[in-house]
Amino acid sequence: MNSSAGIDAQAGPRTHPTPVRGLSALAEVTLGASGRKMLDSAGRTCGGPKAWQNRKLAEAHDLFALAQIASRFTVEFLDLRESLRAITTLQAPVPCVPDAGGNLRIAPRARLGIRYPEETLRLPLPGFSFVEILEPKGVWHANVSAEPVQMLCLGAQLPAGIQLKEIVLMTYGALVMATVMIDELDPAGVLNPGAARWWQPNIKMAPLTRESFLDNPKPGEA
Amino acid sequence: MTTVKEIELNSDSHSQAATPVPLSARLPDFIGAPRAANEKLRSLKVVVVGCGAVGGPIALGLSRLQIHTLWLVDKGKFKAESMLTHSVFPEDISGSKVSILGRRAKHISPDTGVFVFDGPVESSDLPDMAEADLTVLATDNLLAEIEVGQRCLWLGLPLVQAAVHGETLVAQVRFFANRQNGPCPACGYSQAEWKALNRQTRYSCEAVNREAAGAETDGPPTVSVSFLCSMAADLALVQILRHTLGLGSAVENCMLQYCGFDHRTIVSALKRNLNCPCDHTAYGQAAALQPIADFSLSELARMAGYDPGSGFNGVSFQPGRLSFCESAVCRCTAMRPFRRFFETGARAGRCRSCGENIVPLPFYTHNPVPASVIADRMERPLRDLGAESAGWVKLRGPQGNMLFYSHKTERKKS
Repeated sequence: MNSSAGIDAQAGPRTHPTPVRGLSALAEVTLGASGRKMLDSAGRTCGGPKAWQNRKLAEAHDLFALAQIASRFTVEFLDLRESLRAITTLQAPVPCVPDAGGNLRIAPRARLGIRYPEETLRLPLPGFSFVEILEPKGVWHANVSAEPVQMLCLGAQLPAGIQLKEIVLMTYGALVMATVMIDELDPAGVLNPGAARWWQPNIKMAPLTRESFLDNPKPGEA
Repeated sequence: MTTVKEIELNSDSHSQAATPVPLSARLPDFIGAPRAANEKLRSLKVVVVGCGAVGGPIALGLSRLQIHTLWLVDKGKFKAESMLTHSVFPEDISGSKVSILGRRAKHISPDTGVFVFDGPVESSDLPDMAEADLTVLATDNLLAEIEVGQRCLWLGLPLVQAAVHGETLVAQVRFFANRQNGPCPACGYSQAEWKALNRQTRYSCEAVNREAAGAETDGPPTVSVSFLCSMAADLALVQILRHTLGLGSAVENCMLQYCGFDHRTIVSALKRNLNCPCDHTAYGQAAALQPIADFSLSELARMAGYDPGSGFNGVSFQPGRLSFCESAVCRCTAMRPFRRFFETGARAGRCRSCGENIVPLPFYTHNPVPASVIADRMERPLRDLGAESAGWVKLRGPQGNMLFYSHKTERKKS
């Protein structure tokens, strides 16, 4: 049972009474109707100790605010019952397994399952604890484990108390290969040694885009 | 997997052990002590986490008080450098700290039940601490400090933390009562300590492919002198004694600090930090006389006072170290229902079609699992849901939290 599945975050009017000042001011963003509705819906089943509930609501607010100011990012699903769980879509070039001719295939977007557990408030967690690439299949990336489970590693460990928006931004940087670890001998980062070896002579192809996360803002924003 | 082992003396060791003498032969008649001081000490159950230069003397000091039960937890071995700060001998080098100390404690007090866990405290079972009256923390490993502080908060267990700062000749003892929303060790962390925690903790990404990632810590060794360490240990023992027998003013939520440079002793209050990231909610406790896996989650929720009519709204469950997975994948299908508990790192089974391993999808894995996710399986015994190895269940919800665990004898059997 999903606490807020099926609600289209993109539907409804996009009004922003509060001017957006960028990523540092996400908490000040007044959410549009659709984001507000989805957050309220998930908030009704928000569980755990009060401090954790408040933190989840604040992180989820930032997630919707991020989706509001960045055209490349949308939130499809949110669950706040225990761990914060969200399914999001990120419009970004994603490297996929090369075709028979050895040419890298590029998918235009990734569907991400993000899990933000309570422990992250007080403990550093491994960099692969947070983001699972649900689609596309066959991602060809040194820091993404090969199928069937495509976990994205964002580093040896992420600091205690890291914010969700930072994880999203790190994910974008990693997916478009603006930040990538391709040394397959380094156990802290490489999850797909085959892809790491393929990328070593092809590293000139990275990054796959030079656009920043906030490029192409939605009309009337930023 | 590391388990708790009881230290027992064989017949040879028995002959070497001290002839049991009554504690009263040396126990002073403390001013203000209860008449049954002797019995109070003999019924005391203490966990000591960290058995180094500070925790080691505390453990031996407790055995000299002939307490009821002593649990020792440490993953370390004695090194050559240990000779500089610990009461160890060349033959102890490379030996397990808990095994060596545990045997010594047992020799000193054969009637004390001595149990040792030769591994990181994060890997030990929560109920082992639940049966204690008090926990001692004597480690400079920040990850262990957070873990122990959190467990004591959940269990409402008093925590005595002993430490030294060699450069300033400071020995420090903090006593956390863990009652009524009081402070915990993390409440006093500065930014520098959070940074140190992040810096010292290491994981390997290789773990994503094989098993649960265990954290490694690589902080600098404590630099001190043996007498400062033993002074911290002795101050901790004084606080434990005062707490147990109610001697003098209350020691709860106080920090006692001695500085060797000016011989001053300072006692100050420990304060709760409202922004502390630890969970400061306590769990009630219930020990079952049958294996916990015999119970259904619905039965446990009802025992905790939750109404099935509400669908156990807002309740969640954490059976042992198990996770509940809704969906899994294998090579031949995109996604399949899984809907049972599994142990991270253990095999979840093989696909009958492709013969490959079935892999639980992390995004669809819950730890803890909300009642609404597992609603269709609430009435089935945990052992039917893949949780036969669960020796305990942590339940939390809006009306209160509860820790259910199998009684010690049942856990021993499993």
